[in-house]
Amino acid sequence: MRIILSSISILLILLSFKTSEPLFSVPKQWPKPNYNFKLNPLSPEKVELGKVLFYDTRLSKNNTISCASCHSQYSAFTHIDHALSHGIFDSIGKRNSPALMNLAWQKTFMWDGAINNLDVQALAPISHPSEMASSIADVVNKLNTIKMYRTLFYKAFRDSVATGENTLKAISQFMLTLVSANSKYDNVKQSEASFTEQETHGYQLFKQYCNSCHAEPLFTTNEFANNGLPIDKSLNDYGRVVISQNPTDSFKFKIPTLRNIEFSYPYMHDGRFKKLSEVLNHYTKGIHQYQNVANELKQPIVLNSNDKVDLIAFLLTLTDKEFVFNKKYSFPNKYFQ
Amino acid sequence: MCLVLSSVQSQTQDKTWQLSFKPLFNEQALVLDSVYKVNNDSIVIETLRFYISNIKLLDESGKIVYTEKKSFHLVDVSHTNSLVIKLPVALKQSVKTVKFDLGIDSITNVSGALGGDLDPTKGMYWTWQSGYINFKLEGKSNLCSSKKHEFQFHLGGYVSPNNCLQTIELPILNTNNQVVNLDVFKFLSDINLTQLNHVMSPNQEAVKLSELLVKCISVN
Repeated sequence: MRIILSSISILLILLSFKTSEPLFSVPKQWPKPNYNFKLNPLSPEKVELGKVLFYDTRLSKNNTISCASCHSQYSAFTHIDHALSHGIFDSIGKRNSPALMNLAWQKTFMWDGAINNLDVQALAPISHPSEMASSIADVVNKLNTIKMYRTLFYKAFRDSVATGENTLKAISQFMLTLVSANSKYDNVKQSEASFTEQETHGYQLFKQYCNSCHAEPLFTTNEFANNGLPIDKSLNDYGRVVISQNPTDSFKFKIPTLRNIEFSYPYMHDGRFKKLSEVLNHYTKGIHQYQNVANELKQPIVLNSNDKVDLIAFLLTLTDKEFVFNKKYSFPNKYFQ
Repeated sequence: MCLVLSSVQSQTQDKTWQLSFKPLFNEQALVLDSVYKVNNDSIVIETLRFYISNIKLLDESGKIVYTEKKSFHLVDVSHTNSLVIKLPVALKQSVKTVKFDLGIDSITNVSGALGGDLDPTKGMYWTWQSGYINFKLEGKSNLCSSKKHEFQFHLGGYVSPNNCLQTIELPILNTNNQVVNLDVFKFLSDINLTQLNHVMSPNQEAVKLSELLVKCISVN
C-alpha cells in the first residue's frame, strides 16, 4: 500500500513538473533582464490577476478603455491602423502606442523614456486625459467594490483589499510574461531552421546598416536616437529633451524593437509610416540632417530595390506567431461573462 | 497585575520619542481653507503635504546613534495623525541632533511600485514622468495672475541637476517630543507669486523652491 501511495505521489510530482511551464525564463544567449524580479517575485496567481486587470475596461474613467484597447495581442500588443493612440471619448493622443514584448529587458519606458520602472508605467495611461482619464486612487477604489477582485487579490497577495502597489505589481507581472523569442530568426540561431537566400542577404544588410541601434537579440539597444525624421508641425514633438531637459536630446526617441514588426504597423513614434517599404525609403533618402542625427545616418545609406525587398524578407523572420496567438496571453473570458 | 501593567506602560512610554510637525502661517498654527489677509493680499492654503524620510539621531560628536528602518512618512496637514512621527527609541542625554530628508531619495524613486505612505494612490507620484512629489502646496493668492488666482507647487525630481531632495539637521531641544515648525507664509512671501505660481515638474525652479523651504523650517 505504502509503495503504491508513494509511487502515486512521485507520479503526481513528475506530472506537475511536466505541466507547469515556468512563468518567465531567459531565452538562450539573451542578456540578463533589467527588471528586478526580487522586488516583485512572479507567481501564477499574480500573473493571472495582472492579465485580468490588463483586459478590464473598468480601469478607465467611463469603463470603455482597457490596456488591451491600445495593446492588442494580435498586433503584438500595439494598436494597428492607429498612427496615434486612440483613447477615451475618441481622443487622439500624441504618440503611437508601442508594441509590448520583452519588457523585462527594457530600461526605461515610453518613446521619451519618461517612465523609469515597469511597475509605474501603467500610471501614465491610467491618468492621461486622452487615454483612460482616471487615477490609480480611483481605480483602486473601484476594484475594491468588485467582488471578483477581492478573490483575485486574496489569491495573489493574501490580502483581498486592492492597493496601488499590488495593482501595479500585478499588471507588471502579466507584462513581464510577454516574452517573444520564437521567431524564425530565433529558430535559425538555434539551428532549428535556415534562412532562404533572400533572407540571408537581408540579414547581411541588416548587420551592415541596422544592427548598431536595433541590436540582436532584442533588436534594440534601449537607447534614444534622432533618426532624422522631419518634425511633424501638427504635433511639435521634441522627444526625449522634454524629459531630460538636455538640449542634445532634441528629437531623440526610444529605439524600438524590430521583433514582430510585421504586426506592429504603423511605424515610428508618430506612426507616420504604414509600410516597411516607407520606413526603408526614409532611411535611404528621407533623413533630415539634424546636428544630433544618429552617427550611422550622417552618411547616406544606399539600398537598391532588390536590397530593400531582401531586407524586408529578413525583418519578416522576426515574426513570432506563437507569441501573437498564444492563448495564455489572450482575453480571459471567464472573468468577464 | 496592576503593577505589571503600569510598568509595561511606562516602559513603552519611555521608549518613544516624537518628531512633530507644526505647520504655521505667519507664526500662527496653519488652518487649511481659511482666508488670511496679509499685506493687502488674501491667501488660502488648501493642500500641504510632504514626505519626511531617512530619519536619524546623532550624538554631540555627530555619530549616528539611531536610524529608523523603512523611514518614509507622508505628512499631510489634513490628517492630524500624520503630523506626529513616533520613533521607538529612548532618547539618551547625549543625543543632540535629528537629521532627516525632506522628500524621497533617488534609489526609492526608481524602485517601482511601493506601498504604505509611498503607494501611488496617495497622490504624491507623478504619472506622466516617474518620480515622487516631495512637497505639495496648493492654494490661492490674489497676487497670482493664474486662473482663479491659484498656485500649485509640486516640488520633486531625483535626477541631477534637478534633484530636489533636501537633507535637514535640527538641534533636539525636547527629550520627549521635538516640534518642527514649517511656516508656509514665509515660503510664499519669498516668491513672486504674480509671476511664479505653478511649478509642477523637476526643474531648476523646483530646486530653488526646495532650498527655500529649508529656510522656513525651525525648532523651538
